[in-house]
Amino acid sequence: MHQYLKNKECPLLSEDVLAELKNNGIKTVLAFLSRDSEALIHACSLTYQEVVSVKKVLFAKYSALPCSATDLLDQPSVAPLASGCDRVDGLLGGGLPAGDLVELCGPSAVGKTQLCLAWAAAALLAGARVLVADAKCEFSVARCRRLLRRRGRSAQECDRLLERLQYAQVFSMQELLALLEAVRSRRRLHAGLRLLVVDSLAALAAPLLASPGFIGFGLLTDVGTTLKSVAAECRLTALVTNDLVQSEPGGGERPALGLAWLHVPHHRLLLSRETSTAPGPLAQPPRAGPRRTATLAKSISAPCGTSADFLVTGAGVEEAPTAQKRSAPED
Amino acid sequence: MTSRACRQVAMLACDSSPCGESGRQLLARLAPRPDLGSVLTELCPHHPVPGDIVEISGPGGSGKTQLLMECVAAALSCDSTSAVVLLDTDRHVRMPRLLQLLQRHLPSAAAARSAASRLELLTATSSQQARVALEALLARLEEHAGVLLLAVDSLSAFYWSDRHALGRVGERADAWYRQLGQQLVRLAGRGRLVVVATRHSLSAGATGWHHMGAEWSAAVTRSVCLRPQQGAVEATLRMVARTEVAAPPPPSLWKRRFVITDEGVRWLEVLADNE
Repeated sequence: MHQYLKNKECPLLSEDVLAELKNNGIKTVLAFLSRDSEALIHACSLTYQEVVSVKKVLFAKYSALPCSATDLLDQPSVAPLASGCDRVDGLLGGGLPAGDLVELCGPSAVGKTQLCLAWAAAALLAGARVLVADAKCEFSVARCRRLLRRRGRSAQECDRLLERLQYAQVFSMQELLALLEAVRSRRRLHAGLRLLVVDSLAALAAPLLASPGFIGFGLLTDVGTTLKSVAAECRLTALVTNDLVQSEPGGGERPALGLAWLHVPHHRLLLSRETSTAPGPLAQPPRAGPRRTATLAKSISAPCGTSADFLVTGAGVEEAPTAQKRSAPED
Repeated sequence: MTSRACRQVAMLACDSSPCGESGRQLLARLAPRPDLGSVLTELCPHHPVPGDIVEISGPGGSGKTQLLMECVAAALSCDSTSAVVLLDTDRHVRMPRLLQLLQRHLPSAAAARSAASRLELLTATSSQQARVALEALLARLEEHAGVLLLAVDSLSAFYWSDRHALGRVGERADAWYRQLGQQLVRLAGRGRLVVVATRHSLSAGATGWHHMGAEWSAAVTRSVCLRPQQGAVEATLRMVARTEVAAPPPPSLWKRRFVITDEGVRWLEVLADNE
């Protein structure tokens, strides 16, 4: 965090100059840049023009990257990634938006991983690459292959498509950070990457949140920052799954990982599942399982509070029948 | 090569201005600024003036970034030459949305695009990067006084990462963010611009604590607190008017609700106005 002044920053910062600055309490890049140039020439043997030159080098190296708004507007747009379930995709404006961090939040076995699989299959069918960071060993590549087969692809085509899916098991936040930094620094190697799945972030971060020294919250913030940077720079969607926890005794549920994470994602889908297993009045495909609901709880671009019902079937994620589609009464 | 020659080779092309400022810089700094407040009347009844600091705080998803983008669009629209700098640490700002807001203020899409070209976006991926960017802006403002508004989204994006990096002792993190607040105050004062910054609620409940510290709270002249409520957002504005009198007047209170639509922020009824 504190970048210390070093000779390699600029040849003008010789060991003698660094020692003089250190004697005057100026050890870091920020401390050097925040002092007036007139004050710095009294703290070391650099001339005024040399101080200005060093400042320019440090600003160029350590300042935030400037960008013109019109350059961003002129970037070619990337189509949203649709899962095949129009209603769920409609919550996000047509599918997973490129450049954004999307969170799927819900209790266990509600369908978070199934939705990730559906979007991963869609990305592969669109000719893109997918990277999966699996922390719970629940992301089934075999299931992904079955979804591709159900879309009419031959066995050979499925094998060819799956070559574009990179699967990595991660068991710690540090491993996840290293994987994300590798994607960021080796963008040419990951050209065509459209979807990055982390399943699940809660499994990785939750054990650290109670650690002393705020290491859990610190790493969580670093992961959130890096996920958003990778999503923006590589024009992909970062899709993470998270659990729900009880907010307080007798209170409602809220996303896990605390206030430190609550504001991070660009979009948050809350998933729930109907608890009754008795057959209802609405016609449902056989072996579809319970009806599930996705509600848009947070979004930077779409109205919140909208929801969509879906089913998890052998073909992936499908729309649940609406109230108009009722089964014919038995005579 | 002599040591003097080595140092000359190592120097980049630099400004050879002596200490102090030139007559041109002085005139640029003292020139009258465009009236930002006329298009920000909805946000607060008494519009901000150069040197003011507006803080927008609230929980995640309450509309802080949307409100900030409204301020940016208003600043870019009020004058055809003024520039706006946006320091983005949260990556929640979207340029197509900003263009949409500009088209609400300006007569044509071309005018909106021209206004967007005067926005400089600084994207920071760390706290240090953000603070160095602010120092660079301060150095530039002393030469180029065309920036009307500095928008920061947000002040708290890296707080937990910084807290972990600076160790278990909270005072070091407090000092870091106190210095960040001092940088923004210097920018507002010396740069004669309006600073609008968003801040996440990092603690649950109304504890009153926030990571920027008491010195920053005292420097903020307009504090807007957002609270999502029943499909809308309740904005509570506390305002301290700038005055030369030693004893500042008590802050005034102003409450209003708004909703975020496709066209932007739509203000609803005024809930309380005790001015």
